Amino acid sequence: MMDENEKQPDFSENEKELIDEDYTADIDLSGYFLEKARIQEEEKKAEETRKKEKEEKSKAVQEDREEKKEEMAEAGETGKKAKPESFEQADQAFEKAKEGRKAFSSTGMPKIQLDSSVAAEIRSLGIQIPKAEEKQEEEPVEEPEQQTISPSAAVPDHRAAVKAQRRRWSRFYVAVCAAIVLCVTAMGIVLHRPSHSEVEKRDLASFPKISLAGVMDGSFFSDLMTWYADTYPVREQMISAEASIQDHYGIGQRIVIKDAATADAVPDADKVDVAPTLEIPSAASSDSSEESTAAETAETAESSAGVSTAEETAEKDGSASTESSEENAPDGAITDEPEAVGTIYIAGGSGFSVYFFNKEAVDTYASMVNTVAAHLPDCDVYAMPTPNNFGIMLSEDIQRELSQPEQGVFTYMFAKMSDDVKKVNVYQNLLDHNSEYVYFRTDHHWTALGAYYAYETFCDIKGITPTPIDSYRTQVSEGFLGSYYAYSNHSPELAANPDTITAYIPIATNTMKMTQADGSVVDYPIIQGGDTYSVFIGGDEPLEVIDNPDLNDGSSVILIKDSYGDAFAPFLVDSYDKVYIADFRYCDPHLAQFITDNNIHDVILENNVEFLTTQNATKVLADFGFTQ
Amino acid sequence: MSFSTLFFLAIFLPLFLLCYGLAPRLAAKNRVFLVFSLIFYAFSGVSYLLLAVGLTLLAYVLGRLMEQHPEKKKTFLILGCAALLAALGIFKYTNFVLGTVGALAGKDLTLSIALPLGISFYSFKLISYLSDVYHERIPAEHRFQDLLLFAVNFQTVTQGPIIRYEGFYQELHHRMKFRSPQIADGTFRFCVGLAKKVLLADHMGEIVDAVLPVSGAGSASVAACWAGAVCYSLQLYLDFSAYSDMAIGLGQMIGFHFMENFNYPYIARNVRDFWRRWHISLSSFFRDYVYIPLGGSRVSFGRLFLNVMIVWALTGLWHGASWNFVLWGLYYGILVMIENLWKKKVGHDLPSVLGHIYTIFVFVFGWVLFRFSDFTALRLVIRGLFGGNGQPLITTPVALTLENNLFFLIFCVLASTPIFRAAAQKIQGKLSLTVSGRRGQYLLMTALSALLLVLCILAMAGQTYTPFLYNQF
Repeated sequence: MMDENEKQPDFSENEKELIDEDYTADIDLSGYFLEKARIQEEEKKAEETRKKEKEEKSKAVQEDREEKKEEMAEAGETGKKAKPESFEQADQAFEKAKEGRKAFSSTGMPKIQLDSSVAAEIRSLGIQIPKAEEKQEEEPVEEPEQQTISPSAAVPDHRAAVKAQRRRWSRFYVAVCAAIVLCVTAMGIVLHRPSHSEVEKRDLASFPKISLAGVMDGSFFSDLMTWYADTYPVREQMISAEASIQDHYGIGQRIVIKDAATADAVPDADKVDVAPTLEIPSAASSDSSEESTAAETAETAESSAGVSTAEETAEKDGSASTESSEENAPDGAITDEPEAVGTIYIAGGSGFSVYFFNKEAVDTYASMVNTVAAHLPDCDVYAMPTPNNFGIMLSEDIQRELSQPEQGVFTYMFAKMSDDVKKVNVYQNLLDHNSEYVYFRTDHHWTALGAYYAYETFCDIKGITPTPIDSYRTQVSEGFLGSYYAYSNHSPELAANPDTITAYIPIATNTMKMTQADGSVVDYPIIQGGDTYSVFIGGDEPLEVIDNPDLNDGSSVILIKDSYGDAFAPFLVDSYDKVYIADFRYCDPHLAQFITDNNIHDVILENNVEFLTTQNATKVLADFGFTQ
Repeated sequence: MSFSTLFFLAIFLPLFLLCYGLAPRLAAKNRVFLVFSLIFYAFSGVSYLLLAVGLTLLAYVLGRLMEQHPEKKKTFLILGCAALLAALGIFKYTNFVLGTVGALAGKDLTLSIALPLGISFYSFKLISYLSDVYHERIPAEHRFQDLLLFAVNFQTVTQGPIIRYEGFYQELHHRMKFRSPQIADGTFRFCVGLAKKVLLADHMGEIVDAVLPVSGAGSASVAACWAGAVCYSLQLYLDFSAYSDMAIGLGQMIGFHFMENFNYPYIARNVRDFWRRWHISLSSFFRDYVYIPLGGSRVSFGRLFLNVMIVWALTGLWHGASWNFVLWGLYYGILVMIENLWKKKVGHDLPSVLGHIYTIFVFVFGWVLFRFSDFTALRLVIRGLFGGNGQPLITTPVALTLENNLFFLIFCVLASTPIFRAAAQKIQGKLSLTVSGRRGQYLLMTALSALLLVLCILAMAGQTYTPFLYNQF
């Protein structure tokens, strides 16, 4: 077959057959026929312009050709020396093809039809003029028509003027575009580059280190480009501007889906059994790999009391992620990442995280709670799962439309907890007060007021009197734009409704001992100034200890929490002698030992329904470090 | 480096145009072009640059050997194609083979191999060069830097049109001067492409990920499946044609005229017409260098069927190293055969409107095959399309997402038709006849470009790097 191709002498036959293939293209764009096609096309074009009398087309064709002519002349000089011999034939053919075109004569000048007398005169001077440039008697009408058809051809100045106008405007156009682009370049060089983004709650990319490996595999360059874009000076403002524009892309209540999910059906709470207790991870269970088993048994053998040394904490912080990944949780949630929301629904200036019920996750949570209670027979274990604003603030109809009503999930969850567990169901109390400012509009957390109602319910279950809310001094800060604002890419609707943080300062003391990630212990205010959620106990840290100077009856509580617990914890200060606060993601995983060593009687497990994942539940259990 | 990043727009491009403009003669300009192309490619990793240079050197040597020893040229051609395809195969298809073998054996054999940038494109370019030299359509290139520039020129190396050597060479040595009319034309084309990518395609990608995510697709409602498929079709077209626009625009700026790669494929009347409008450079490559050498249609029917299926399977496989891509290719191959048979039997194609609707269903369904590499998910989504995956008709989050982007979606649909170009041409026709008309036309173009540039810059600020969909090739 290939030979057949080679022997084809006639272009058009091959072309025809290829067109008949009808496989992909009737239009032959292969470079093989580029030259032929181009010549044919141009001949066709010339014919068309003559027939259809399109002034601009013929004008443009002639203009372009003149430019190319100049180009050829110039480029021909510089390119000649470099041209390899073998391509000269191609160039000659190219030149020949040019000659065949009607617009040019062989002398390269635009064709001018000369009177035969004039032509004869010129020839007598010895200058050669091909016959084609003489006015042919046989076509008296067409040739002059060609000239008179386009007034520009008859008036060369006009054509030049059009070209000049085009050139002027092109320069202006290029200048405008260049100005815009160079503004961007200049801003990137001159203005200060930020290193931390408060809105995104993360450090921005830093300038990458130059390494041979990085250069060879390209990671240095991709990090460089990430750095350039990430730290670009006015990035936040540009993102906000972009959000305002995108706001006009459509209609309806805004929804931002970063992680699409679907809801399981909520089983009937009357028909469920108590969740079984889980196997302790440090025992040989099929879920954990051998490495993590060895590490955990080694650590429990060390049996540190309370605060661990700096070394160990640092190790654990670093290895925590490997531990949790080795625990092989099926739903793949990453424990050590900041809490992220999947779907945000924005209505009436407020954001709501849509909660999708995951039966397996909730079952695991209930099992975990039962297991903890079973292993701490001397303590009162309180389970306090907390609802999010989706369940409390939105009507049940809307909840059902978006995923499923949340209240039923809580009923189901508590039905699966055993009698060893003290059930603190804060849902109804919050629901009763949902006309008050119990949840933030631009953040996924509850306000201190919402936490207070949870505290009320807790006191009710425990059987103590809650401190009246009026007895607290308050600290108010305005202009809080939280996680929803960031995750919705700076939604203008949320930007227009910033939150106010009202914090209630504990009466007995406002100082606590905080163990930080590096293991150091510092004094820290329980409620500090600021306009972010970190006003509450300084955010999420491994451990905080509060000693109530006014109460010395030995009552103690440990609150094992996620970030919702931050706003809740300050209310415990005035009800207990000692309050211990551990964040399940960062705490030292020997809580059982810690509880025994410090004679802690009450254990509160607080987890927000949004972050009740199988992995998180497993992590909480692992934090206790129970031995079999 | 990707065209739709702040770094490229604010640093690389101005620097390149500045150096290019300062270079005095064409030869110097070509050197600048080569150096910047090498730098651009080096951003993906210097080792991959060395690989590309090495393969180009191989093609160069073999080309010259073919010229010097014409009696052995078949050997050299086979050697060259084998080497290039081997390189492509090792980097791109090793895990495909290992994964298939592993799946059959029940083990996970995959390795971690990074894909060199643009290897699918430049290896095909070099194969086309070798084939053209073999068939004596072009003489072998004696200057290595010219062939190297052909292979790694930054406009087309990442995902650009698969250009042919002859046209490229000619323009390398004879092209328009670096003057503002040409720069303006190229810039305008580039702005349009950039806007298509950054303003339209990227946002459409967010919508598709929200409505029909790759993982968890089994729980998508019927409406989500259809809306997701349609939005994904739009995203792919806008993304890829935007890249071609940008490549062509960047080439135009310095006087190169690369072939058009897309011709509004979504208004095609039938599948054959669709493939004459979609990724034109790729389908012409397969036609000229695979289909024709295999014999084309001048064979028995059985062999013709085999030829068509081979070409389509390869087309699918080129797009991705996974079986769903092969399936996607064969899907189109079968439809092309059916259409050809229909035409022979019935004598003419489907009437226009019916044909359009039929083609729309064909390519939307085709892109669903394209999206899901996992066959379980694919099966669930296909069942979802026809209401058989147990999910409701529509869910509120999906409905709200579509509502939130109503105008945007309509605009994207219009952008995939030639309506804007037709309107522009009409306006241009009316305005270009008078001086003030032309002034108005230029003013309009400038204002439009400036607006698009500013909007693109705003949109690019929020990305920390979004590669083009075809970058995995």
